[in-house]
Amino acid sequence: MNEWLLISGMMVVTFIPRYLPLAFVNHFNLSPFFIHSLSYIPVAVLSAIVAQNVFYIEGALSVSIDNNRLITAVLAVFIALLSKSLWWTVTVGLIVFVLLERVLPTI
Amino acid sequence: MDENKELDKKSNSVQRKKLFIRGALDTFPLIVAAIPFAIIYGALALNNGLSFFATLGMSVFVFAGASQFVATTLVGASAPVLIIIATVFVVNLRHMLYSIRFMPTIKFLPKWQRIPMGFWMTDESFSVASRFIDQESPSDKQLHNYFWGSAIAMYLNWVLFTYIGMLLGKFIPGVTSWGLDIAMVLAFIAIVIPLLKTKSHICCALVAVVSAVITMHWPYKIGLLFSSLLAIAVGVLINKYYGTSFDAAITSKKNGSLQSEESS
Repeated sequence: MNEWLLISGMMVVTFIPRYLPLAFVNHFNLSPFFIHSLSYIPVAVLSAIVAQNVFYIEGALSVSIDNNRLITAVLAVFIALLSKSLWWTVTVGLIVFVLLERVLPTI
Repeated sequence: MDENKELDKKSNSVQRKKLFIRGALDTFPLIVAAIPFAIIYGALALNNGLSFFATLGMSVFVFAGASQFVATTLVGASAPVLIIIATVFVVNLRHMLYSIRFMPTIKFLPKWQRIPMGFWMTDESFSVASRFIDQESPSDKQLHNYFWGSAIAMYLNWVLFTYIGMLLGKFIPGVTSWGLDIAMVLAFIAIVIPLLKTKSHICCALVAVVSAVITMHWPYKIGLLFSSLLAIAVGVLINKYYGTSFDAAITSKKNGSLQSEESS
C-alpha cells in the first residue's frame, strides 16, 4: 500500500469540508434567518456527541443507575445550570465520576 | 502621534497574546480528554501495519481523531486506498457544520488566515470557539487569535501523544478505562446548557440526544451527522413556524409577570 498516497488523500478530503464554508462565505448572503439558524449547530452536534458517549457502555445501551457516565452527565447538567461555568462543571463532574467509579466500589 | 501608535500596537499584541492563552486554557479539559485517544491511535496504527512515519504523519497532516481511527482499522483490514479515503470523507463531513457556524464572524478575515482555521477545525476547538462567539461577539481578528490558541494546544497535544502511544502504547494497558474522556462530555454539557435559551433550542437538543442514541451503531459516524442535521432542522422549523408564539413564550412570560407586578 502506498501510505503517502493514503495520507495525502485523507488530508484533502478532511480539509475540504472544514475549509469550504470559510472560503466561500463572501459569496453568500447571510440573512438574519440564516444567522439565527446557526445557533442550532453547536446545540445539535455537541448534544449528539454527548449522548453517544454516555448512553452506551462498551457498545451496549445502558440506561440505569449503574451507568456512572450517565449519572455524572445528568449531574453535570444541573451544575452547568447553577454555576454557568465550564471549569466548575468539569471539575465537580470529574470528582463525582472518580468517586462513583473508583472509590464507591471499594467501600 | 507616533508614541500613541506604538502604544496601540503594544496593547494590540498584548490583547492578542491574552486571547491566544485564553483559547488554550479554555480547551484544557478537552485536551486532557484527547490524550488516551492519541495514545491508542499511535499504538493501534503501528499494530495494524502502518509505518512509523505514516502513523505520525497522519496526526501531523490529517489531524482528525475519528478519521484516523477508521483509517487505521481499514488499513488493518487491507482495504483499498480509495475506499479508505472515501470513508474518511464521510466520517469527517460533520466538520462542515462547524465552519458554517463561523461564517458570519470570519467574513472579513483575510483568506490565508482561514486556511489554518479550516485545517485545525475539531470538535474541541469548535466547541470552545463557538462559546466564545456566543458570549463575547468577538471581531474576526479576536476569534482568530482565540482559535489559534485553542487549536495549536490541541494539535501539539495530539501529535505528542500519538508519538508517546507509538513508543509506549503496549506498556500502557487499559488507557481507555481511566475514564479521562468523561472530561469531554462534561465540557460539552457546560457549553450546551447556556445555549438552551428558547424552547426551540431545547427541542433541538432533545431530538439530537434521542436520535444519536438510536443511530449509535450506524457505520462511519453517519448517525452523528444525521442526528445533527435532523435536530437542526427541527429547531429551525419550530422557530420558523411557531417563532413568535412558541419560542418567545419564555421572554413574554417574563414580561407578563413584570406587567402584572406593576399593575398590582
